[in-house]
Amino acid sequence: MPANYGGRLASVLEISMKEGNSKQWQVEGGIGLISSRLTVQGPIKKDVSSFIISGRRTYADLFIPLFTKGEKGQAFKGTGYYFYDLNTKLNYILSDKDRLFLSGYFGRDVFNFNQGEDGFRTKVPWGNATTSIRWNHLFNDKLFMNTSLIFSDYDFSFEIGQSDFELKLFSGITDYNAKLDFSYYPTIRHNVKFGANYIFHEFTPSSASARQGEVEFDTGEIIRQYAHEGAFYINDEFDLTDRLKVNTGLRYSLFAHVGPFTRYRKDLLGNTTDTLYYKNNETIQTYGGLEPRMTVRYQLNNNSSVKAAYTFNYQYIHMATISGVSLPADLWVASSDIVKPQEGTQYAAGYFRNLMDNRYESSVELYYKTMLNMVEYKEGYLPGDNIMNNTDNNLTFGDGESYGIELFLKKRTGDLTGWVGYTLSKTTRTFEAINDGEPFPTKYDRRHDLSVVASYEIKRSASPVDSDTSQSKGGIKRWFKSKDWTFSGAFVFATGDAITLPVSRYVFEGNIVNEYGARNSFRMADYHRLDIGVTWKGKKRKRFESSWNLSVYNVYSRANPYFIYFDNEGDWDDGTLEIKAKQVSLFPILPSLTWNFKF
Amino acid sequence: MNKILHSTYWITGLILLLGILLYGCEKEITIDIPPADPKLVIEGIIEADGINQTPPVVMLTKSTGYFEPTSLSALESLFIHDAVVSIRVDNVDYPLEELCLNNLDTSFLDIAASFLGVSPDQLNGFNYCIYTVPLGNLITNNYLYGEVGKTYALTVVHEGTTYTSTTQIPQLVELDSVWFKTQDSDSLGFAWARLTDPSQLGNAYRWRARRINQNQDGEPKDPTFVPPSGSSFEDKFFNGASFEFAYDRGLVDNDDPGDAPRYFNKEDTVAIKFCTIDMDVYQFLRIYEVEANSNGSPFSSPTTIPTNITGGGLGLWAGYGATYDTIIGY
Repeated sequence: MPANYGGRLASVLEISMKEGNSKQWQVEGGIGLISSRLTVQGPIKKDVSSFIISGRRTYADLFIPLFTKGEKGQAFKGTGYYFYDLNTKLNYILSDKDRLFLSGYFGRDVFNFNQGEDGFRTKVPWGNATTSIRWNHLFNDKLFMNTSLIFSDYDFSFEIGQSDFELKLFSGITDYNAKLDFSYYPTIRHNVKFGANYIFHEFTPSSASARQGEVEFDTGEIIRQYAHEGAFYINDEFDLTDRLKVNTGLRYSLFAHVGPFTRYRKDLLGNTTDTLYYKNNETIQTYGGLEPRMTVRYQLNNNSSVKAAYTFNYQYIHMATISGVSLPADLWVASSDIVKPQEGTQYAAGYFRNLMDNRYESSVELYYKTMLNMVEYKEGYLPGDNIMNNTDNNLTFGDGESYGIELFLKKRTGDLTGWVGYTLSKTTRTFEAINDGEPFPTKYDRRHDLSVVASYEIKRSASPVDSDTSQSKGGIKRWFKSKDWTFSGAFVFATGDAITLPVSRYVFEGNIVNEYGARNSFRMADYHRLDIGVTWKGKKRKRFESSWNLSVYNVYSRANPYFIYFDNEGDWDDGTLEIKAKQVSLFPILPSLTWNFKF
Repeated sequence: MNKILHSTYWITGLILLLGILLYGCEKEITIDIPPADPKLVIEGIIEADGINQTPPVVMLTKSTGYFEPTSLSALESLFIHDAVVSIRVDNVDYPLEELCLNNLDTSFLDIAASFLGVSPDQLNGFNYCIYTVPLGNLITNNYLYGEVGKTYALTVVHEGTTYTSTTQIPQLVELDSVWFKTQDSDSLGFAWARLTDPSQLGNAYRWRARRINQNQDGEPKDPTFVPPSGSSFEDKFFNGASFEFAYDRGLVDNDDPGDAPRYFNKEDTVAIKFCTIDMDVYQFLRIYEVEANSNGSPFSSPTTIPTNITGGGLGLWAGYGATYDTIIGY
């Protein structure tokens, strides 16, 4: 990770959106059985300004009722998953040295699950919204600058209920971000980046509201957390010799947790011993430090090279998983007076080699990483009660370790292209207060992770046959030949999530009570899935292009686990009690036909 | 030609759709949980109400594998019969003896049923066992009983392992008053009470209620005092305050068909058992009740119930300072 990126230990995904066409209008879209999308772009003022707007919506949820008709249909009424998002970008050329970009994104994912029999239900909506404005200025052909103002908002909410009991957990992060980034090319051998970044964070730590029928429970006030985060960086990517490339940088980051804030101090029994009130913008705790990093790449010969990398990072927000079983309730927690920033140190080494006249690309990479000041919820934590309490009082702290090997092979050219990637890895955590201080795997510890992606193309034969009027025998063959075909397939495999399960039961006051096994000592079933697709495209028309795509998601309808829960059926008084493990999966096989168009 | 193609699509589509229809989004799975070694479970109570001389009662069972079938008769096989149990108070040790239903007269049924939260009928022919003061001492009225303010140390020795625990019977705190108030209807409602919490921080309480008016069989509606969900609470939010609170009716298995779950009826005569408990007991009960209610549903965190038993056992040794009130039905 170069020094212009920070704030995360592992990686940062950079997503940049394409600019609108400034010459002419263009409409692109796809209408399909389970999702549709549309992109419109065009000039606002020709060669000066343009826009692009695109949206997507899946509607697989609309079909679920069809799949679960009858008695069962009633039971699972309202179960489903969907997402929609909307992207816009405006682009102005102010002068030949200045450009202005305005962009916005809004997306929502919603998962619903309703199990009718015992009225168990859950709803998990989450989403992001961001808007940004960026000014790009060219000082000269060696120096240019980007100034950005970014607003972003992340919400996660998790609603669960059984009979007339309802619990809603929610958390969110709102960020106001200002960035100044310079790129400087002093000589052809150097690419220097430097700049500064400032973010004002507003965190809503996991908060809860609960009700039983008409009775609303007092779950306490929501104590938001406010923080300033800033960073300066300089990074240089340069060629030391023709064979030796260096990418090195230094980042200084700073995080200040500020008021207003109320801190409830707790003793070991959970009693409040002290309450501290902080005024507006009063500094509660400051963290910061230098984050050095370096990557060295040495070209061994024309088709092979080796790489070594070292990275040290601070991360000021933490991910804490609330549920032991497997619900996707991962909530962000900010650094505070009691939660220290995470520190990550990573070492990586790799060997890269192109094979068979550069038709194949391959690599082997090894990494080892340590993480300090990780967080987990304390054992026995039950979400819901924030009365005179701070969410982070329920956390406990420890360290993590991760290592692995990544293998990659890619075929770059020819009718058949594709790649195979495999990672063997292990990620553990060690917390004094969890699992008797013994290391345990993280929820997302993936021992094996395999991806195979392939695509095969058959070009249209050059014969001038017009398929639409062809009625003669052998028409299918002819029709086939008149199209461009792309056959594709993708297979993924990943070791199942590590979860904590009850191992035994006992009777207390006539109730059955669970005793849990070691933390994350069980695995959900492995995740694997095959998707295939075929796209065919006719002759390109003057202004209009279209193609058909037939795809099948999850070809062999693997029921990949989304979460597991336990259902008690019967009554123990009359000897009919049985405990059953139920696994909830998202999608079975989903065939889809999509018509894509562009004009 | 296009027709042929279309029919091919339709057939493919139908096959695919059939495939979908066969798969729900939920399925039952088998989870391979290695067998856990059974652990000793203690459910022990020593109680004082300032009037009656109530002997301590300790039930010893063992834990079982998670998916093993469970029933009341299975519970019978879980009792531990060969333990050595004693209680130490004021530097004197009092050994307890095992008493089993099969060897006793039926008057013992009520105590056993109350312990298990079931009606005495359900225990017919069921060999329920507890450890308590020796029967001979009970008869001569010379036995260990709970006293307010005293601390009781429990020792259980079983198969070479010693389990210990200590609990206290805190000072009694009486409710100022109790009453019934309708809620959502003309006749249904909740039980209300006014409590004045002592000025010192660190008080914890447990509420249980029992409908003692008769059901259609002529028995008290509730065979025993029933804790509602969240029956225990501590004074950290209201230390020293005087305030009103309400509880709904705890769930029981043997409701009359006309009874509304969770509601009391204005005709119900409700006995309230309001107990003071120490903080360790409160911590256990708080988490235990949530765990018992969640029954392993996906939103519960893996819970380690903070037992006050040392030596690798599970469960609770609890002192209760009990006071009683009654809401008369009308």
